[in-house]
Amino acid sequence: MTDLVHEVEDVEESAGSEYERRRVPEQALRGPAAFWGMYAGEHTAGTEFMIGPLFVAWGADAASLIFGLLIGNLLAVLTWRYLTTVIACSERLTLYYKLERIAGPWLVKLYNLANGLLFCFLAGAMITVSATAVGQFFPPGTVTMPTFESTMPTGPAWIISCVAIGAVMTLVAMLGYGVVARVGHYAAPWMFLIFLACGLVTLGRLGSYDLWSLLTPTVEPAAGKKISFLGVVCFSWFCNAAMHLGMSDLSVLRFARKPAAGWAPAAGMFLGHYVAWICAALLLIYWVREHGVDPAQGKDPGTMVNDAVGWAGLLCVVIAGWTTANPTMYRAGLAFQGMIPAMPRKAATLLAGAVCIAAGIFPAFAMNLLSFVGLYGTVLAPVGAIIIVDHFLADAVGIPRDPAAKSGGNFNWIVLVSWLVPVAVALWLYMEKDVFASYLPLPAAIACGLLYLVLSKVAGGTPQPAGAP
Amino acid sequence: MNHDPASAETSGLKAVARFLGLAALAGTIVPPALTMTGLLADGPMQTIMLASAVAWFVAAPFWMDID
Repeated sequence: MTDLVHEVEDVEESAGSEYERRRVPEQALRGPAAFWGMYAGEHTAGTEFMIGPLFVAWGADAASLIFGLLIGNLLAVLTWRYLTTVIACSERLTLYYKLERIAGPWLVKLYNLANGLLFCFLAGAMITVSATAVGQFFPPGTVTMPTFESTMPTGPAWIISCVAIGAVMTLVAMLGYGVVARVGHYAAPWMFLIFLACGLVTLGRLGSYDLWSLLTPTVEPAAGKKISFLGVVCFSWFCNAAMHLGMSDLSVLRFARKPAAGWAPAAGMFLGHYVAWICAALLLIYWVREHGVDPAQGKDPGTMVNDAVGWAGLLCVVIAGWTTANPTMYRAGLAFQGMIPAMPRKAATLLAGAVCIAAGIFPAFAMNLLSFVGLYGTVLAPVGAIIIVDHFLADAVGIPRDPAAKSGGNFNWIVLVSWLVPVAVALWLYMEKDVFASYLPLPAAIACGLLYLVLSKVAGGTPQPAGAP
Repeated sequence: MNHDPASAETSGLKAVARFLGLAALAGTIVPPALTMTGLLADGPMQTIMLASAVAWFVAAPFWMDID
């Protein structure tokens, strides 16, 4: 553990500031330890306290939670290992620079807008979760807690809580996230044990160690809110689709000395997205079975964690939310700065923080996290498919690699069409046909990759004409 | 054998921090396990876990940071 914190900070800070427009040199490469620590910390977040109970609300059964999560998380790790890390170690470029070389700088700005906004909504959900914990420190009834069905703010005290938490997070993010990254890495092993502690205490209260029986739903979920085995597999596979399939983690994994570092996300997946989700699910199962809570309404994380393990749990909810919301805000600020380079980083982070706070006040984002993360992947993962085609298939099918870099173009319309058409169809399927959002990232990405390949071939296999300089 | 006083002090501090850190992690997970089996009431379990949280955040920077 000795040098791990320094290595992790080096990797994260380097990812944000160094070698942005060139290959990472040999001397800057890192061993696997830094990546294992980073992924373990990043995927034990405040939102894990929401996702486990949301599975219960959506009627996930025991087989889905025990085997579905196992399969989905394994598929996510394999995607990181055999796609993201292979490309990262070969190209050693950030996602942004690689995309610029394929699509031109103007399209990267569009990607930054989508990425920055989605980051803000995600950080907003973390503010919401943290607010449910902070509200526990006030006399009962002071802060009205949202339910799973809440979409609007629950009252002035709720709004003040979210604004106060969000303002502190924004201020820290404006100062850079080195300190927060450090606290996050200190907190990671302790936070995981808090999740485990919640599970153990709940098992004792339920008076049974038969996990299979406990995870079997006792009431039917609300109409239209049912998640199947395949739904759980796809959710756990694609809840980080933007990072693996969408190639966002090229920015971090390009520092990996060997592709074997691509196994590191297993730490985050199997601790944070398996054990922690099941422990968090048990919390709501206890409230449903022993207190008669309607699973469709759910119970806020702060109340459940406070009841199970007390103030240590509340501290965990706040720290888990804080340490993951801050880097997310910081990255959103960088994305906005990428759109408007003249904007100072602090101003960009302040803008991102304001959007995050506005999103956090509305519980709709946190309470619809199962759908939101699927949409997040649906919008951003297709961009990764274009990079996959460029890296693995371009030479074989006779289309140019890095076409915008070769032509000097600002705007590659083939990339725009290939990205937007599948995303538009996917969003239509979600909104009009009620297709579960986590089913959409993979088909959207495959369609995007195929469209890019076919359109590039039809366009003559030559670099596309440049947009207006 | 290292006779550098600063280095000896650092390794002593690290040993203390490691002991405190491990005790804090144990204090985070053992009480809930005892509560699960009915050997410890909720109140003491929650108090020990809070004290352990404080201990962890005191120890971790020294344990995890010292080269």
